[in-house]
Amino acid sequence: MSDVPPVSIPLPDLPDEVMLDIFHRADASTILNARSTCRSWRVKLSSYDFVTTLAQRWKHHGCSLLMHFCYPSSLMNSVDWVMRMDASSGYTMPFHFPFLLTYEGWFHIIGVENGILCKRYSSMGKNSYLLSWNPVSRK
Amino acid sequence: MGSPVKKIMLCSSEKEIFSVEEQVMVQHSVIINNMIEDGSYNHEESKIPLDCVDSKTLKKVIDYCTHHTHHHNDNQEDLEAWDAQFLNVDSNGLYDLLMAANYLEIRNLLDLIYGTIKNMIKGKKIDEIRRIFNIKDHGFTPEEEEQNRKEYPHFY
Repeated sequence: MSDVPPVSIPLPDLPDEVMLDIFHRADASTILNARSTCRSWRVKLSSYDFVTTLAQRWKHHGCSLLMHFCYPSSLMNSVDWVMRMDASSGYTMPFHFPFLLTYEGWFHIIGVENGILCKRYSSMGKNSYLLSWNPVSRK
Repeated sequence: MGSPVKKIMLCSSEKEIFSVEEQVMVQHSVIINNMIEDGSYNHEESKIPLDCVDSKTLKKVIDYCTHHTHHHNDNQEDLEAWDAQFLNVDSNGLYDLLMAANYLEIRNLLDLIYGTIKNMIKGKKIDEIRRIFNIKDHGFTPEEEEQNRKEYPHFY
C-alpha cells in the first residue's frame, strides 16, 4: 500500500462511524492533525469512546498513551489535564510532570522516541524550555 | 457428483441483477453470510436487493471478492499490486466503494480503503485535509483557529 491515488475531487461527507474507523487505524500525528481540521472532528476525536477504542487497538504494541484532556472541548477557557493510560489494561493514572504547570503554563510534546519524551514547556510567562524526559524513571 | 456451483442473485440500485458464486460472497460479506446462514435467502426465488449500491460499484465489489477468493494463495506482492490497481479510482468512486463495503460488511475491502484514505491524509497540511474531506466550515472561531496555528505551526 505504498502508492496513493491522486485526489482531485473532495470526498463527500463520510458518516461518523466510517470516519472514526479510519482514525482508529491512523497514527498519533495524523489524529492530532485531524483534530485541528474542524470542530466536530475535534470533539469526536477527543471523546472518551474514541480514545479507549484507540487504546484497545494499540494494546498489542504494549504502549501506554499520554492523553491531553481538554474540557470543555474548546481551546479557550477550558480546563486541561494530562493522563497516562496503560494501553493493555485501560487503567488511567494521573501523570506527573517534572515541572510546575500553572494556570498560564503550557507544554507541547515534540516527539517520542523509545519512551523518552521530548517536550517544550513553559511553566509561566513567555520563556519556554526544551526538555527530554523519561516518564518511567522520571528523569 | 459435479453439482453446479451455487449462485446467488444481487440486485443493484438500478435493478440490474448480478449472479455471483455464493461461496465468494459468503466468504467476504458478513451480511450475506448471515442471510444464507439464517435461511432468509431462498435460492429458488430470492435476490438480495442492494438499494444503496449502484451497478458500477457492485460490479467492482464482486470483482474484488471474486479475485480474493480465487487468488488468496497468490504471493503477497501480486495481491497488493492487484489491490492498488483495483483502487485506482477517483475519490467519488472510492467513496461509493467505501459505502458499499461498509453496507455489506466486507472487512478486508474496508481495511484496504481505510488504509488508502489514511495514506491520503498522512503528513498532509490541515488545508489539504479539509479539501480532501470537503470540510468547508470548520466551525472554529477565529481565536481558536489562531490558537491552533500557534500550537501546531507545522500542520499549517
